Amino acid sequence: MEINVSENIGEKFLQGLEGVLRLIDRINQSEDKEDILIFQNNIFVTPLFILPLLVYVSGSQKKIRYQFTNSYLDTIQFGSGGIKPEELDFPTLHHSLNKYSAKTYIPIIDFPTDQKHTRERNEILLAVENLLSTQIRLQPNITAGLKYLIEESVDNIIEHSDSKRGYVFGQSYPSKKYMDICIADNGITLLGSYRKMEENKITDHLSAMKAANLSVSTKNLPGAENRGYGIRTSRKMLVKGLSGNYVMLSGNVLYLKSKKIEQFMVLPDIATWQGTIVAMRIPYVNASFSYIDFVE
Amino acid sequence: MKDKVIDITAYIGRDLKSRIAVREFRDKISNEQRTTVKIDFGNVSFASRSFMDEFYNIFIANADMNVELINLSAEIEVMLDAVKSTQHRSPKIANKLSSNDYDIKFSSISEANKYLEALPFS
Repeated sequence: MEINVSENIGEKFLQGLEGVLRLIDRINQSEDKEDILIFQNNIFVTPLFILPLLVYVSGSQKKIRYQFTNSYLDTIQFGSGGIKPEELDFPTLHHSLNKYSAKTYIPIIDFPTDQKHTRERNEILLAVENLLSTQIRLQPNITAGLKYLIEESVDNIIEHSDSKRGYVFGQSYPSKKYMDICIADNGITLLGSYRKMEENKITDHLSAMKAANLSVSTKNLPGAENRGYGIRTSRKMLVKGLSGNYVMLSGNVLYLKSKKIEQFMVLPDIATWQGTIVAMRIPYVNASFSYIDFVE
Repeated sequence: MKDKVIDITAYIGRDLKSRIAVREFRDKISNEQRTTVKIDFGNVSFASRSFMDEFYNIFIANADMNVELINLSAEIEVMLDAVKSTQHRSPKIANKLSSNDYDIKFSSISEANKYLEALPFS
């Protein structure tokens, strides 16, 4: 079935996710073996649309193709699935990213998670952090917080997801003074991580989401800490420290946290992601913020 | 056998930010046959919690390692204290994991979207 993707995604943080959910609904209404998502020209999409869509499509039982002539989607490397750092030498990688220095977004980054490519992964993440920082002239205190938020999410992918690839995509909104960052994997989900623990008692996506956000480690090593405190610190830093918004999606469970809202939601089974997605809306003007104040 | 100061940034860079980086660092300096290691953090600009947690477990809590850390910034000290203090803390949260009345379960995507659209979350 051909499915037109024509709606512009506005700046409301969850609007991108709502758009993906509508697409999932239509994909599931189709009885065809293959569906084609046809993006209209001039469509604007956000990180919380793009990465949940990529992860959903990569885990779908159906064959789903994209069709577009949209220059924005081209520029963010949507068609290729993102910039893969191990396929470029470092000067070419930096040259590729420098092209975005005057933009308000970064391209999709598709990084390897294995130890063999640690150097390439570190290089591109550092370049992305520098690029985001330069694009909107971040103050050093915010850059340090941004690094913390990105690195903790990426490290969780490397250590726990069993995913071969991780994804980062970001968009800034200079007039609103915030940026949206999405970090995703197509791994075994939070539930899959807990199921690998000895004596695990977590058996559903909702419990896994609660465990991850309420500090239960997936590490099974005596004395070793944990995914839990990293997530908790990130969320506290973002929500309390920067008045931002935090979204986590894994399996069919959605978790939202802001200063006013904390909500766990179970989506219908058709909206099940084979992976974990973290999205953050990060206000970036705050002179008194210090990331270290939120480490616990 | 030598006792020498190692500038950690010469091995990892000024940003210390993944568990893998700690393990690679351990492998590199283990090959250098030192019994006592002084690790210099003076040039570090950033350390993530994950890095410091792995570092704590591999270098500080490990009886086979004899390390001394020097030139720690106030921020690194705070991070190290935080990971030390949570090594054996086991949050009693089992009763919070199960489903409760505050969780929302949607039977359809349109129902989920209707809820999300109305949520003041931006």
